[in-house]
Amino acid sequence: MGRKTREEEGRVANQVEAIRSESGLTRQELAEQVGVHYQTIGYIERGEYSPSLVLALRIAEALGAQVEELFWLEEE
Amino acid sequence: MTEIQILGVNAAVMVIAYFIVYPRFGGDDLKRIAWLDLAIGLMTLGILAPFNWGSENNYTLLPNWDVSWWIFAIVTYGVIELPLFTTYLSRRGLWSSYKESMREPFSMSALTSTASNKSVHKQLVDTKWDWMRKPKFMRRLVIAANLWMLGATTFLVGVGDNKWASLGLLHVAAVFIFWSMLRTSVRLITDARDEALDERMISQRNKTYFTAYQLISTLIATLLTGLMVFVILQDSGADGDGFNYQLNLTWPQVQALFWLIWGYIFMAPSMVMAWRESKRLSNKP
Repeated sequence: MGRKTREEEGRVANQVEAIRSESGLTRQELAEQVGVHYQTIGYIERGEYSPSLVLALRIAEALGAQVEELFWLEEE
Repeated sequence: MTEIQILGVNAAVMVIAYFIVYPRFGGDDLKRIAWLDLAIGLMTLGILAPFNWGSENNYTLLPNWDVSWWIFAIVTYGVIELPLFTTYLSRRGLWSSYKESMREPFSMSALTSTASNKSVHKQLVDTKWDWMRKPKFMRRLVIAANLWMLGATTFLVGVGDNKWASLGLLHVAAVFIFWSMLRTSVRLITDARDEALDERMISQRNKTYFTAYQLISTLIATLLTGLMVFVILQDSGADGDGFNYQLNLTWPQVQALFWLIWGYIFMAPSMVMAWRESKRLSNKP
């Protein structure tokens, strides 16, 4: 039993960008609220980086959403 | 060389270092100054070596205390540097930062991270060097750095003769230029401490180090295998006694091998990150 490869793992899909835009926040503003660099928000929105649980919860709190509304596992 | 000539070289290097190099490239960043100081110190030894290597001459450091050329060069370098260094700190109001930096000078974090938090913060928002962060440029930079490292090492080891020692210095300068460009292309992330980065950057940096470790291990394993092949070949030769080996190296050859390993230790993480970033950016729709 080992860790699955990235291709085998389900992709973490998200709608951070949509909810952030609805909230009227820029990437920079959201980044400052959750304590990361603004590029990291871009990576998360494009699905290039899956945040830690702590960061996901912080983003959810900043956007006033539930974490499962923002992130979900997209099985193949 | 005489004592006066060594002192003259040291003094000239110090003037260039403290009046041109450190103000321009080190500024108020003590860690960067320390690395520059190490590089310039090694370069000074590199300048003096061809004139003194193998010399029987002894140099009078103190009355009745004669030492070899390199001890004389290092000690006098330190003595000449001390007043310049203290003046530099005073003029720039850096004494408190210096005292702070001396609190944990030998911690693992201090030894392995060559970028200050301030420099990293600056680089993370920098746009001036964005042309170095374009995928095509980053890919070419990594290829050029590797070609230079392997090509220059092969050349210096191949020519061997000490008259090429000055080209060894050019090689060292090129290593530092490539290192600096690679670091800038990845915004110093590979050389930063945890507190200067966010969780994505820390994860990206740590994955990079895993690959860089494999790269450096392969390089060192190749060199050691080469050494093993050399001794086996010596054994099979007519002069081999199966136990003693003679490996003659000139100063340029030692320089080449030294900077091959140190160069890769410094540059490999940034090379790996720059390569990955170039691929990621190229695949971006």
